Amino acid sequence: MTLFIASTGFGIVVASILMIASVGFTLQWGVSNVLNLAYVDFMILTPYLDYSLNQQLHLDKWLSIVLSVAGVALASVAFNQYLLQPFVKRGIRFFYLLIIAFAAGTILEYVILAIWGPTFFNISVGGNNTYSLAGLKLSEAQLIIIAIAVASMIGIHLLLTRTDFGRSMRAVAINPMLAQCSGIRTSAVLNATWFLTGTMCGIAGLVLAFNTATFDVNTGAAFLAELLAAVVLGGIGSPYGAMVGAIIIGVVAEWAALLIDPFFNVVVALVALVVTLLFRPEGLVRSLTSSTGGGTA
Amino acid sequence: MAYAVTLGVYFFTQLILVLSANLQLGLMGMANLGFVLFLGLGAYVTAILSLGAPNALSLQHYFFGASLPFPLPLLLAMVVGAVLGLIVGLISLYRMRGHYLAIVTLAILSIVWTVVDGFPNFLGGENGLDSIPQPFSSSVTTYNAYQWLFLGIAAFFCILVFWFSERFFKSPLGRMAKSIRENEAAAATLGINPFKVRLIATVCGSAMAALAGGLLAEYVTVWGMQPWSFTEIFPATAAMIIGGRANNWGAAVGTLATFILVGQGTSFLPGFSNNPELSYAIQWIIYGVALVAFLWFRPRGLIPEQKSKWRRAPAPLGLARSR
Repeated sequence: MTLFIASTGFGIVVASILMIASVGFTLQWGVSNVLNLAYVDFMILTPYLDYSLNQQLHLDKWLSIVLSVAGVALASVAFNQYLLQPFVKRGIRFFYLLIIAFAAGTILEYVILAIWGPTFFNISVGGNNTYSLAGLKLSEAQLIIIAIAVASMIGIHLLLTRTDFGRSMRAVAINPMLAQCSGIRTSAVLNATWFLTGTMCGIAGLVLAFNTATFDVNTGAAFLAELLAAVVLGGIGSPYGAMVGAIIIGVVAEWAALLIDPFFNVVVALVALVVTLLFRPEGLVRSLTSSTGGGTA
Repeated sequence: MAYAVTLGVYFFTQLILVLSANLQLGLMGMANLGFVLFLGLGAYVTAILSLGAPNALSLQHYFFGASLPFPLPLLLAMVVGAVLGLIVGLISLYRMRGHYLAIVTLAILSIVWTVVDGFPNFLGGENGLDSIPQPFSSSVTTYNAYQWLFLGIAAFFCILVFWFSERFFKSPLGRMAKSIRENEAAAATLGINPFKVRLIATVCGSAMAALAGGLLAEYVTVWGMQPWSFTEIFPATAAMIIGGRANNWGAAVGTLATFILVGQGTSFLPGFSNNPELSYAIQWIIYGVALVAFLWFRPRGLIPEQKSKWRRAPAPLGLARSR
């Protein structure tokens, strides 16, 4: 029973990381209709930047966190603006867009490998104190991660429902042509969306590294399976669905790890993904987007 | 010289894989990213069917095990590849298109990869399999002569697959595949069953990838998790797009350009003492940059796809001028 509670606690932490990452991913997909396989590579860029700024250039801890997240957000805006959008304007088929994102992710991954090398790095947050809440033992770092996740989810909810930007983002996701006709500057909305999702991607990469304490180039790619599973389970393009999907995948995968074998959490997540796509492709929560996921390549 | 022969063997085996990708992704236009799964499975089937039953002396773990004579392990690998391709196709192709198909095939690849990785007693796990017997190795004594022999074997299978692929492309089935790629609704209206054609392409492509895996395993005599991981989708797809999508000669040129020129060329870079993986990283960065550059400047590849040629039917008398 204690093991069960402990794994639930760990599952909640994984779910928090997954939530930040998957809400960003699903908004990106819903609004711009790009399956961005480079997302996890942008994610893992953040801890590397943070490591260099903080431990090699000796900047302030919080300043280097802000700078690295902003750097990743700007990089993802640039990726959309200067690489994806020129191709989109040419009317390229979705399959090539997928391959371009794959190529960008590969380039980024190996640029990181070329600059920082194949060794493991280490960044951390918080002390070694642990707190127990109703039987759950959580470290300071884990509590910070959960707090960041809750704060950003509340922020996303307010942004989507209370601001003009959020409303125009939803409009672009549902029908870009109609949104443009009704006076929304779709290209500006697109860039702002990529900045927002890039920020979430950066935060997610940072908390992923905080949680595992050590990271290398493959940490991001290993996260892709659970990320895709959470996004698809929740419904593509639906941020609230992604939140639910992240909680389910995070917690259930940890239970499966406890019951069967630790390496099975990835398999459980992927089986959930395949089953969802086979029997309920729209996901748990009705999605914002009208995108059909592309036709034939 | 022996190096050139080795390169030749790699060229032919990789070309079979790229032809498999070309059939499914190029001609058929399916975003089936799981084709490297069949490369891995074909290699494992070939390995366990030629290694013999596992014993305590061999220090490796796998299930079953038989020692069949040369062409049988490869042929059975193709059969297993085709059957598994049929199963994967039935699961994924019936309802899914586009992004969804890409995600599902990626997920199936990752599931099988993780399961093989997690059960060391099943197919060797992360230790992999080693000392896979090479065909005819007992009858050829010198190393160089054997390289030439294997080059012949690889070339034979590759030419066979190339011929099959060309026939497929030019057959009515190939034209159906093209019509489904260009406009599925119109093709369905003409009475073509898109699901059936997609399934046939998947089964053929899977068998081809399994053959490539079997040949690779028999040549390098070891097989593990790395050569069929998620990242290996990328060079094969890049070779297909750089060479020219839906063109078999293009696939050959693309394989030469990526796997041989870039892949082997970067190994001649001077060593970097502070980062041993730098030349490897440069190789993959070149793959990525070349792919994006080709899609922007020459999206149809080095040898573009051939349009089907139709001979104009002779106009009936009296109608020739009137239109």
